[in-house]
Amino acid sequence: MREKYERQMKKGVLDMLVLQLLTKEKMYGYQLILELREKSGDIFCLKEGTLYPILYRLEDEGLVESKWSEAEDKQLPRKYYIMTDKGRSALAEIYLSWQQISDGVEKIMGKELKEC
Amino acid sequence: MNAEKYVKDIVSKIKCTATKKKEIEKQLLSDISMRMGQGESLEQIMESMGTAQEIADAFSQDMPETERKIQRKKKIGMIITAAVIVVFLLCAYVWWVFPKSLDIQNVESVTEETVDAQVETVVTLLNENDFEALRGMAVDEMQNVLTQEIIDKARDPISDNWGEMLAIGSTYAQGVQQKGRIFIFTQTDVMYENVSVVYTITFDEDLKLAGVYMR
Repeated sequence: MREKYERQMKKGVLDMLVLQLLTKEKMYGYQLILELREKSGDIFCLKEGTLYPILYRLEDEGLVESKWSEAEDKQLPRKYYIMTDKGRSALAEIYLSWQQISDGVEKIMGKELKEC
Repeated sequence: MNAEKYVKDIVSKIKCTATKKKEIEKQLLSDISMRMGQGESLEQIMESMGTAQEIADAFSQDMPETERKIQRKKKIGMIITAAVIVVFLLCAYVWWVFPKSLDIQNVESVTEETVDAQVETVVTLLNENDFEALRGMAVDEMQNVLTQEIIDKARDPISDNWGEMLAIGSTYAQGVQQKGRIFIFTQTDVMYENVSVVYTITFDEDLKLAGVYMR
């Protein structure tokens, strides 16, 4: 039961978190998966099937862009994702919405918890 | 199972365009290659990534709307193409089944003269009741029809006494093509002592007897 609701709530913030990680540096797909897991303390453990469609959507919307690296030694080329200016503006707006939503949730949940 | 096969299996199940599939395949192979370079085994990687179907379902579910639109358009295009092919095949079949007239001069295997001669031969053999000879020049389907009994049954309604044949009139011949086969329909007036009979005799393109009708 809890897992189902957790999944839904996490889905809502993934775009914002991916954009936030890309403000620091360009990253390739698996790197983003590792960073999300590590920085969230294992709360966000994404799989490739979840992350890549998010990246494709962000790229379609112009919030990120991608580039393939050159092959090094025996390593296959990697696809890096880079934040765009449009992405930076969008992140600021999304984060503002998140704060407002978070405050609203806290007001309801906080009051109810106290009453319990 | 190797990485390429695993990734190909995933990609084959994702509902998106071929271009996007190639892109995803490249990315997944790159990720797996990097992880194996860092010491993970393929089995460990597959365990953490999930089954091919699970990964494909996750991709398909969250694929951007643009990809889904392209995929939908492609599907509609394929359905329309299939429908057009079916209609075309149906029309071709109907055209093939429907009988089409052919000028006798366009039937390569015969001439007006050879058709006339064959009609005369058939009428003469019928007059002589030489059914063995008639069967010898007929198609398989006529073998059981060219008998005294059946031909007499056809003659009786016209007259019970035709008399001797006096003359064979000119023959009108028309080719017909149907189901890839060519038939030659002929009509000839034949004068007998007591009656005048119109023979409708049909041949195949090898001038084998394929039908006899008299009135």
